[in-house]
Amino acid sequence: MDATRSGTRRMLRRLVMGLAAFCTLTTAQDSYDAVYNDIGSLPCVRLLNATGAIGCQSLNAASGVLYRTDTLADIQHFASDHDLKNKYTVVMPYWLLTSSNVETLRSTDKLSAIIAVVNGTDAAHTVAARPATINSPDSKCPNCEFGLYANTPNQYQWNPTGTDLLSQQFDFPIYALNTMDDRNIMSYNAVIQAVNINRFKGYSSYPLKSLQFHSFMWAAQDTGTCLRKGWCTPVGGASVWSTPSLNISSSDNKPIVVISAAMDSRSLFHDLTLGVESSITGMVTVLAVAEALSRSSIPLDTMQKHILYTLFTAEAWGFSGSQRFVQDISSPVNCIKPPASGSGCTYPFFSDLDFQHINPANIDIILEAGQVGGITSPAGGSPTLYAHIDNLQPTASAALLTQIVQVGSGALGNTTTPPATNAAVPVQAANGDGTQRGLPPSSAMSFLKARATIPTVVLTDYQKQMSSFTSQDLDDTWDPVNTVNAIQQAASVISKTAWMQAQGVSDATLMTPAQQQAIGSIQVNVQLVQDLLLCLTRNYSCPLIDGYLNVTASPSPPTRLPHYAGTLYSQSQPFSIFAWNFLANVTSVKGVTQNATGVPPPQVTGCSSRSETVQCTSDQFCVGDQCIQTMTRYHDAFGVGLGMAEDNSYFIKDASKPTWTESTWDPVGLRLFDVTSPGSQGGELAAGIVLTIVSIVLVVFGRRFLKKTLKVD
Amino acid sequence: MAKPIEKMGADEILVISRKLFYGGFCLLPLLWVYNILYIWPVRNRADLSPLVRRYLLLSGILAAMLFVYFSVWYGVFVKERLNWGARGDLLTVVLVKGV
Repeated sequence: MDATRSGTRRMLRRLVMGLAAFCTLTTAQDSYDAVYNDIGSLPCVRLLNATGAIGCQSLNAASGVLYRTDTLADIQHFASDHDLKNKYTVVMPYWLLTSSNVETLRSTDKLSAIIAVVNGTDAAHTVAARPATINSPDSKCPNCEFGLYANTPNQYQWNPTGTDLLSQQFDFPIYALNTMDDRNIMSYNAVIQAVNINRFKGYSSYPLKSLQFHSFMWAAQDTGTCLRKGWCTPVGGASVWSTPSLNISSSDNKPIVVISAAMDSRSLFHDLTLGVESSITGMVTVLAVAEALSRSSIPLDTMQKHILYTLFTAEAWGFSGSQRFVQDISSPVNCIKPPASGSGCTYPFFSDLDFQHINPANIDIILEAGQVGGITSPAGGSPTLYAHIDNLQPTASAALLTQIVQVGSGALGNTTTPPATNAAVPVQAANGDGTQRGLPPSSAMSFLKARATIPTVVLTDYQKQMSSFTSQDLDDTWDPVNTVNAIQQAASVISKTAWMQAQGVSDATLMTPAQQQAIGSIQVNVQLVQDLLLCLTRNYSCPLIDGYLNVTASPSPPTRLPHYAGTLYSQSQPFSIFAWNFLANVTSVKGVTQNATGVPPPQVTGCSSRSETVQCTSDQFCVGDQCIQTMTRYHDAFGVGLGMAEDNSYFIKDASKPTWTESTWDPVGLRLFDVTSPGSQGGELAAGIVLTIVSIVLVVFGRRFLKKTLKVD
Repeated sequence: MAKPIEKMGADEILVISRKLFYGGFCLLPLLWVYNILYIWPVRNRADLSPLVRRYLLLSGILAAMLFVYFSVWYGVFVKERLNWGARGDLLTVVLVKGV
């Protein structure tokens, strides 16, 4: 009896307590929703290297009344307006975010944060409102301190108008707005609506709309400090290399033709980094080259030379991908702790050791596609491609340069005539004007640092100056005609030159009739170039990628994904994964090579769609629902100045080499709320204090009164 | 309840004062401060051994020296610990994020 009663009572008590907790929770959530409006955020974050830090940090949760500036005059007006007594969040078009403007704002002591609008629907934020010339926010010579000419006095400055905004340190939050998808359109509309209300009220009649920011970065000082505390992760990802020669070996003495490009780029807001001109055009070129060469009527793996495609990640961070690749293939792997099962090595860590098949001494030539999209600001006319060679060893590359220009001029007879609808993009030697500038910043430099005499040509769309879109958040568009033409021509020139080189031909006029015939099979697929441009920028769920990765099966198929390299092992590498699958597919042996009996090897399909019944053999990979054999591998990319210890922690191995890391952060976010005038805030505080005093007095006197009347102790 | 100091005998006070004084050397400098505060009301009692006053004086000097030493160390530590690198981290109990 007693037990039941106490049981019931306990249950009742629990019920009441649960109800009370529920009520508090809902009211707390309700009142939160009534006060705050959470907004999707595109933050600028903190990065560190061996000597310091760049990017944004905010030690306290900053908040500021939204203030709108559309022009330079607005910024100056804000700075000189003494009626503004609050802290402000300045909303400005992205192109106004320059070092000098930021300094003007910061020095007013009224700035709490900046919101930069990259693309917006408001008249001030459209493309038309941008000035004709926009300067690159990168340095005057991006990554040159880690390049081939780092120790050469007076090295050529490839980005002379670069503002170097990216290498600055900001101790307040900077966020971006960009109307690129539904979620971000909502954020944009909320902020613009709020700032317009404030402007309508003249920033003086309260309540005004205010934004609060959380962007607390854990790391400070430099990479050495934050790695020691475990508060940062190396910037890096996965490079991809691939060769049609399945049997490539370090001892086959067969020369290697390297075809290379970068896969990543950088900008202030990593969620927005696309780098169409900065890197995607080069990546598309290499993928198009691989596809074109895969159609060679002479099988590639039977040629005199190997062909090796390399797509490097983290190149925007001191050529980390290419330098690490060159470093790893150049030194023998001393595996101290072999893996329990499978390939690779546990310490030092390698997911596979197949890169040892590449003998750096066999690398015969390097062809690289840099910025080849002809995308400039102000928009230029039809593009020209320039072939750059090293100026320290100019004779090594002279013959290759001549050959590239010859191929580019269409001197291969009727087989290479470009489609009549498009005018061919001219190809010129970059030193044709008599000035030896050397190589522009490129992955090839990493190879040349190891062996300076490798004949190397880097193809770009500039002769003297990189595109002003270099490392821009605005580098998100291209010209549907010029860009596609330029990429097609670059891919065509590189594929034909590589093909001839692999055939051992260094002069087009010396080709045999059979070769003349065969080279005609190398045609760059224009449709593929267009598809790749779209897939790699705005629609990761396009049919081309979906065919390999079945991305549309996900509940929310990805569309635009950032091309920032990310942090090592902690972020997915969508573009590396696609590049791997694409290269694996086009370089794989599928019926071209016949086996001993003269019958093409049987093709096994369904390994992905019917994975429970169809399984590939251990030496095969499942690519696009088909079991294939391929020599396509990932290769870890992170600064060669960093090392990985046995316990998977990182340390600085060589501070003179790239050591970029990204800080760990607390969840970032921004929320919109109404702020009352400073006067009424003081009133609220005073009222609160008075109320507290009154209740204390009431309690004291009340107790005394009750004690007296009830006569209890 | 413990006996108040005023009601203690001179010997008792001497024992307590000596214990607190030597106790301070076991890395417990606050015992010296406590020694002074505790004995202070009876320091001038005629029956007290002169040793008690000596213990109090020495306790005071040592406590003051340590106070100066720790203050200086605190200032140096707060100012310089970030520049000491790994050794600074080792000396820090709670690492502060963001600095």
